[in-house]
Amino acid sequence: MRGLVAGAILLVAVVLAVFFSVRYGAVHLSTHDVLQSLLGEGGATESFIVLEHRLPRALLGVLVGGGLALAGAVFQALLRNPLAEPYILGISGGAAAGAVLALALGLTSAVSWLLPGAAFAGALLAIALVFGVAISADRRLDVRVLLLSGVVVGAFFSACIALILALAEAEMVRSAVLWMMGSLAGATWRSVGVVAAYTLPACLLLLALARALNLMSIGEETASYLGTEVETVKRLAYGVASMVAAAGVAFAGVIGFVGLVIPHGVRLVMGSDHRILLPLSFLAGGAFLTLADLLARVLLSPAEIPIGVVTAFVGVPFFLVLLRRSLRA
Amino acid sequence: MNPLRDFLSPGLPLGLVAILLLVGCQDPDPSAGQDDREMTPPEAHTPPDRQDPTTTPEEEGWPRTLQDQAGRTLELTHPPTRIVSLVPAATAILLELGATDRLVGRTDYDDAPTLEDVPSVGGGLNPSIERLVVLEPELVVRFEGQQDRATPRALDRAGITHLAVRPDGIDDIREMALLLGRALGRMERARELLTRMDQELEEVRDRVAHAPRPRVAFLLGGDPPWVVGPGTFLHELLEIAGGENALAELEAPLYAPVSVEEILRQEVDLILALEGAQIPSALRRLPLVQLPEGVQSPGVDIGRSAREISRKLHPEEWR
Repeated sequence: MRGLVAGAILLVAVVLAVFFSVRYGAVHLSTHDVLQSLLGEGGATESFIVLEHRLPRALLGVLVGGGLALAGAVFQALLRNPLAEPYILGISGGAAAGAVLALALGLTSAVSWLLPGAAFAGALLAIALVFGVAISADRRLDVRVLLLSGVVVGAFFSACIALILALAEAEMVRSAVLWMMGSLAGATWRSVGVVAAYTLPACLLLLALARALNLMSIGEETASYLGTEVETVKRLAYGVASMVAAAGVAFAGVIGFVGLVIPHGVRLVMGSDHRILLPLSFLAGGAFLTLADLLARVLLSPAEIPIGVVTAFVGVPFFLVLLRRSLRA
Repeated sequence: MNPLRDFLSPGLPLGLVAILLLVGCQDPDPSAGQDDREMTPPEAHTPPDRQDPTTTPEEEGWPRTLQDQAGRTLELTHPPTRIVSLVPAATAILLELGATDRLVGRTDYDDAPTLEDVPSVGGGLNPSIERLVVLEPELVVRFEGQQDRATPRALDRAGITHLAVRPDGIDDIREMALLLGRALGRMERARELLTRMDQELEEVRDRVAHAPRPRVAFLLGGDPPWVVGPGTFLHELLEIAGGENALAELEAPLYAPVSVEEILRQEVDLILALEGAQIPSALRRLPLVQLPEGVQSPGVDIGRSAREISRKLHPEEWR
């Protein structure tokens, strides 16, 4: 019941976030203009700004933010580690390197169904590297070791991106910012469609794994006694959560801390039942990233702050508090 | 200069960002790598072979079809009355063509006093699409280059006609001026501008024809410094002004960073740099000649720029 109420509140929050995102921007439009445009009765210019420029961007924010938060919640459950999330584990970095490589080799145009695939390959490579490093150091996957290997792998992929951009073409230097700090500026209906096609089914699949994740967060042994196919669930959840993160990274670049802050915020209020935590994380993440993008666009308009700057300003203090607590425990 | 824009372009020195925004493009274009674009006197000028707007009959009516510098074809049904220029050099030409009242949008880099009241759409690359669209332009003049692939796409989606320009070399500047003249229906004035430009360049060339030619490294700032390559109008201006581009043999056709060691190896007589450009310490022992800002604008003022460069290189010839 509480979950439903919270879900309804967050759903309203998402709708409001999208509305504000469509309402405000570099150009002042009246609420009337915006509503008329949304109803398909606005002037050509207003309609273009609202329907072709702001709305796809807001929806991309919902999908990417929701996907990152959900993936973060899943990684935290799988690793039984509060600091796990795609960015800190280096998975976003791997996905970005995969996407940049595909673009630089001309394998795919900027908006293509293949781009998330290349990002996914990079994400899987990052996971393999992070866990390879962490396990070779300490089989129990200690928090500190895992974070350290995530940082190392993340730095490695940042270097790969810088190298690819240096080798490719001088003018791609500008877009390096996109890949390293993230931006929703490239949003079009097509990119929204591609991200939705990857993210939504993957999210449904992860929601279906919620019960198994509940059991596994108690302990893998307990979970297997209670009839969970632990290995299958683990592989599936890692793969699908990486896919979700990769799809977002492919079109919005590396955006940090959403996967960390949001699930923890939700957990603080609603407890850690994944059947509630996962859907609420998606909604909260979607609303959060859309609002963060609104700030990124409006604060220094018409210039834009990279969205990763906004999420980091919120996320880094939060991360430090969590790190302190978790290392004390 | 907007500090945020520099923040958004990490690794590029402040002055260079301005140049890239003014010059527009730096992507390697094999066709731009030729070193043999000698200026010819106006009467003997052979128009660029890509397109020849000069042969267009003067009484050409509307609608008219243009081929822009990206090779795109666009049709104008009437002379556009609402123009947004994202290219400062093109803006300057539009002003010269008497189109001040038709300009409804500019960039942060246009500082002509007549444009003070014209709203800005931000930078020339990746401008604010919202601000651009809301001006309801009939024609947008934009850079052709890979740094900004989003803007042409957005303009296409918005159904706004855009004319791509790419003022790399002097011939490209010439073509840009004629394209703008045709787009406005003011070919005669565009030709006059070019004639004046050619005369100014010729005057500079004649003045220093017999002077010894120093080997010059033309630096745009940064460390390693970005240099002027052989496919650029700045290279051509340097040669017209009586200098030899010491770095013309390097592979970069347009603008590119080059190691300090490479510059030292080229037996450079002197360093030419824009005022305020950062000079790596290893190059400070070479004689330095500074150029005032504005020289780097690829517009019809290049005659003045050539004279400015020539005066600095050959003060004795200009006495």
